[in-house]
Amino acid sequence: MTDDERLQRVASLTTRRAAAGPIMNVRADRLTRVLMTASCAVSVAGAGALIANRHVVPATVTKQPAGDQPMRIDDSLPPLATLDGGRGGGESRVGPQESESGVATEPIGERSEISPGSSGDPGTTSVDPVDASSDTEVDAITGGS
Amino acid sequence: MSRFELMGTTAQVKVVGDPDLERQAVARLHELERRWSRFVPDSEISQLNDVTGRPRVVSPDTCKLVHTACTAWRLTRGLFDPTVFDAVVASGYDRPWTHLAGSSVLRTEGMSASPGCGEIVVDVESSLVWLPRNVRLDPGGLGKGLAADIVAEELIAKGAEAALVEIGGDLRVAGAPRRHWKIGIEHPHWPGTIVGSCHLDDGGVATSSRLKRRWVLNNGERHHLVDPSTGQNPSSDLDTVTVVAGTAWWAEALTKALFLTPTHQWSKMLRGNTALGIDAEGAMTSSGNRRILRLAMRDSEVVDV
Repeated sequence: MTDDERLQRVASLTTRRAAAGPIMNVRADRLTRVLMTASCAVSVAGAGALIANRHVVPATVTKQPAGDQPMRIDDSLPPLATLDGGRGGGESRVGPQESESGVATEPIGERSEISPGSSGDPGTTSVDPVDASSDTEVDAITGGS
Repeated sequence: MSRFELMGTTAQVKVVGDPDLERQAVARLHELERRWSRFVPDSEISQLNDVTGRPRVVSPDTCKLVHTACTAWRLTRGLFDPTVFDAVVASGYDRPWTHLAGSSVLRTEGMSASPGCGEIVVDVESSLVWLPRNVRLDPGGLGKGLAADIVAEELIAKGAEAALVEIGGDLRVAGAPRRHWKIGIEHPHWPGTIVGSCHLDDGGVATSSRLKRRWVLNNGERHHLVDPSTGQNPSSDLDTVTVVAGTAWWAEALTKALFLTPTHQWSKMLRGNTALGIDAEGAMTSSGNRRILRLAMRDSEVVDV
């Protein structure tokens, strides 16, 4: 991005910001979405512009569309930690597993993609349980700072 | 392995690969500290906090930090809040921890709710950040986590086989290790004792503790965890919360959010990630994946939620 382009962008944001008017309550993210939905339904240009101008909710200006369209919210979740994943072809995320106590843990939605399986299949995993009490060799320790 | 002082705590870098990468990683971490520390007067975060209400072009690193912090705020529905700066300062944490430790602070101003990130503008393309007037940022632990994420990922991009970057117990592992990384979880009441371990190839681990970074404010004890809705320390029974997630910044944000979330609602907040909480009595609550989180006690001693 050239300096000129950056300046132009800052000017654009400044205009939009100035038009936003009074500070919107930061807890009103949900309200913003409701308003956005409503604006699509009724297709009222004035309402759309109002929402677009007010829609400066958290860090969402990552890719500002042309015109006065509301800025996109990236709702994607960060990835899960992996174990035995990403090697030998198929990625295998660690999925939900029934604990030894029999209580199933249930991740929400599509976050967990596989459960432990047999070895030999690059898309599944097989890990021997480790007795944490018997093995004190660790790479690092977490305990707050 | 390199061990050094960083961001008011101890850090370490382990690289499987070219030894020179380790040196580069240490230098990069110091660079991020210079950009992000609220205790460095000319850091970009300090400059943003000094001149609120106006847009400012910052480095891509700092833009990413603010963007990430706002994302964490949104994903946790405000339970993690980087705008607790004024509340943290009002509580007495207005100087580097090395200066505050063991101190007694007097303050007359009250703590109040944080403004949140709703009005913060971040434009990644132009690397612009715009903090509303009187909204200031304290990157806190999320800055440590994100620094670990950035440097670990850069190490892999530069050819390291695997890497571990740890800053004060918040850490990120990445790459294709020859064996699983094993991260010990320290018991909050018995320093040096490991209660379990996290096993992973790629991901982040973070622990927040209310037993560390404590000081005296107006004759009352305070710690560094803040409930953004009140500006006060959270009223939780938990002493520590450890989270394993895909990145260290997200693990860190989730630890803060879980301190403010009833344990029966943890799985909803975690969305498939893994956590362990330990309360003042030593009782443990866990949620998530037991292949990643392996505890050194019988299941009957741990409440699964």
